[in-house]
Amino acid sequence: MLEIRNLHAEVEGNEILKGVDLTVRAGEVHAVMGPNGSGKSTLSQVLAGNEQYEVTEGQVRFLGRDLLELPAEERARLGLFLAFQYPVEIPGITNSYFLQAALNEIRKSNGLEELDAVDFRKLLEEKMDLVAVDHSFAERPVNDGFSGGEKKRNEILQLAVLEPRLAILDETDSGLDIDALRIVAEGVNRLRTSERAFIVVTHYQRLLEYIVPDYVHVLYKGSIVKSGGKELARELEARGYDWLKEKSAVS
Amino acid sequence: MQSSDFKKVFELLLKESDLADHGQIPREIALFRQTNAKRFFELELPHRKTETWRFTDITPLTRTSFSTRLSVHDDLISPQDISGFLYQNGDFTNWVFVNGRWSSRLSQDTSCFGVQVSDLHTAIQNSNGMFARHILNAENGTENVFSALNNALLQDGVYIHVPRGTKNASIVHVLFVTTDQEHPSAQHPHNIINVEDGAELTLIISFVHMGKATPHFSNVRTDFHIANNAKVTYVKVISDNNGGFHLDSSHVRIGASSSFDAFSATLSGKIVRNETHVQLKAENSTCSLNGLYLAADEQLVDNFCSIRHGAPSCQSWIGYKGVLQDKSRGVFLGKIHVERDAQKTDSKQLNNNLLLSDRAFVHTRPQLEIYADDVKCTHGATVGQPPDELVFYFRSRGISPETAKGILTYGFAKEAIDKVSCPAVQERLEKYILERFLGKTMGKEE
Repeated sequence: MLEIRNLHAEVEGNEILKGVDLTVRAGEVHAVMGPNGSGKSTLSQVLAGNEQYEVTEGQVRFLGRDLLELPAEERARLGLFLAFQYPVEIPGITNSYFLQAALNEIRKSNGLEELDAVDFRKLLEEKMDLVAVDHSFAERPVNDGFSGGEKKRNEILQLAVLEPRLAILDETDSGLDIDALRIVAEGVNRLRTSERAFIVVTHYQRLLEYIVPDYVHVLYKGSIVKSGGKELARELEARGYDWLKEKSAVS
Repeated sequence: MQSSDFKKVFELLLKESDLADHGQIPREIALFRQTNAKRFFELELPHRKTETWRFTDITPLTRTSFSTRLSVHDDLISPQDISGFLYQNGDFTNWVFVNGRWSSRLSQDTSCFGVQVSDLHTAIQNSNGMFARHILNAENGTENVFSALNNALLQDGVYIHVPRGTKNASIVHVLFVTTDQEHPSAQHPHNIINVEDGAELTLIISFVHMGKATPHFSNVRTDFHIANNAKVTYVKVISDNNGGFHLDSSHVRIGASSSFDAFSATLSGKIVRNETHVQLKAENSTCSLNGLYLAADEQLVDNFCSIRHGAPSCQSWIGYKGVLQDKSRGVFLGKIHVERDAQKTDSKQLNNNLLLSDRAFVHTRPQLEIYADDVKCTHGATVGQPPDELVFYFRSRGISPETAKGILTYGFAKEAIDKVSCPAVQERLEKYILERFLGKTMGKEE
């Protein structure tokens, strides 16, 4: 589904990604871990198409298409979703309005009929129940005045409504207390299917207790220095990142 | 030299209107008109060096030769033509003026509850001492040449009187319609609103033009006299066309423990200037001036709000938002003046501007002048384009940058409209911005 080959990217002249390779197949959950400043968020933003980051080398194929050629909105319409680490606030626009606009853009570009207000409302209510968010979310302005936890849950609600093929969760666990973390993780688990893949970007192993990955990768100084199964996350929790830093310095 | 031409037109007009009213108006009002006519000829037309007009170039207005004729024909307009502009809900009473003159034919549903409404002409004919006093109070602010002209002509307008203790009165909607004339035309409505002790009033004034982009000039003066323990909600909507010059000056005097809640919406017009001068004359009153201005093409919108705190423990708020497209310009001047005795004043003002084009621009000046020492006053202004960060968020959800900007602009404007205290007007404005910025009615449920 997703093939990243030798991806290099920079922001304002600083090279952050220095040759990332990663392959994700349908139904898989990949965790990307790493210390602060290793390039985790850059990888997420580059995949989503943020133009502040410049790709200088490498290829990314997504569902058979050259992802890097597509503008952000077309990536989303193709089925790529990023749950932001810091979701923005949009005063004056309700969640319901925002999500209906987004879903209909995606449906339109996939040759599906747009949903009218009544059908959309039904769908939205189902999805709010599925990821256990209060129905009051629908008429609140997008993230405006939301607590940190509410913003993250709102990202998961958007994921549920837009039904992407690949979802990237960028530090969805940051700023969440343990109860909120569990609710968010349960929401994500309900959205796991054999068709849908996830890349879970996180600093801590904690989230992976709830969203159990098939693969764990360690990103360090802009490239993946180690990959393994879910047990790698536990090892990182126990040993920290330092042993990998030393290893990468030697190689 | 152009300015003398501009004034000459009105010299003729003033003579004509003197003749028309000869002997029919009380002496003191005739005198008032003469004094103001004199002021009009003495005062300079605003130019680049006039402090409060520095960024508002009105030469396109003063270069236009307006018709000297007073006659107005409303017979070209049918009730169907204007029905969409009226509020048909039974809570409203609609008063219609065509080219500055009251149209009894088009003002069909003038039956109203609790509040006395009449056209200024009739009010002058039947004038009593109190009415004359209110007229004479319009002396305030005659340093403005256009106000002086308006006072000198005292053509027509609406006179509203809300007697002591009146609550749940009809909502008064006054519609000023202008039509295409052979020559550029001008109207000079003069409105007087008198709200007695303990009374409440909701007033909507809208300005529309029916026709093409023929130049026309609305020179509006509206005076509010608000007594004690009274409550006034006022919404003004200007939806002129691209040929419309609109200079609007409101003067508000507020007594003790009263509130004045105003919203000004400028949706279009070639040059629009809204001046609002508020005087908080006694304790414990509140005044909020909110507004939304939208400009496109080469339009210019100027909002000048001044609030003078003359008594202790009053609250005031100024909140204006502007959306500037194409090569349009916005001008905002907010002035809060706190007098020495106005302790415990609580005042905030904020002006936010969204620029949708590199060629649009805004001059904003929120100002404070404080002579008391125990006050809470803040002010601020922002000017910016839709932030990339926000636009990217939309794009990451499949929404194109153009649609994203449209939705963001709608959200920006809607936040202003949420402050409109009259639901029927709020709904209409919301529909307008939805169509203007998103071109469709998406996502609305009934």
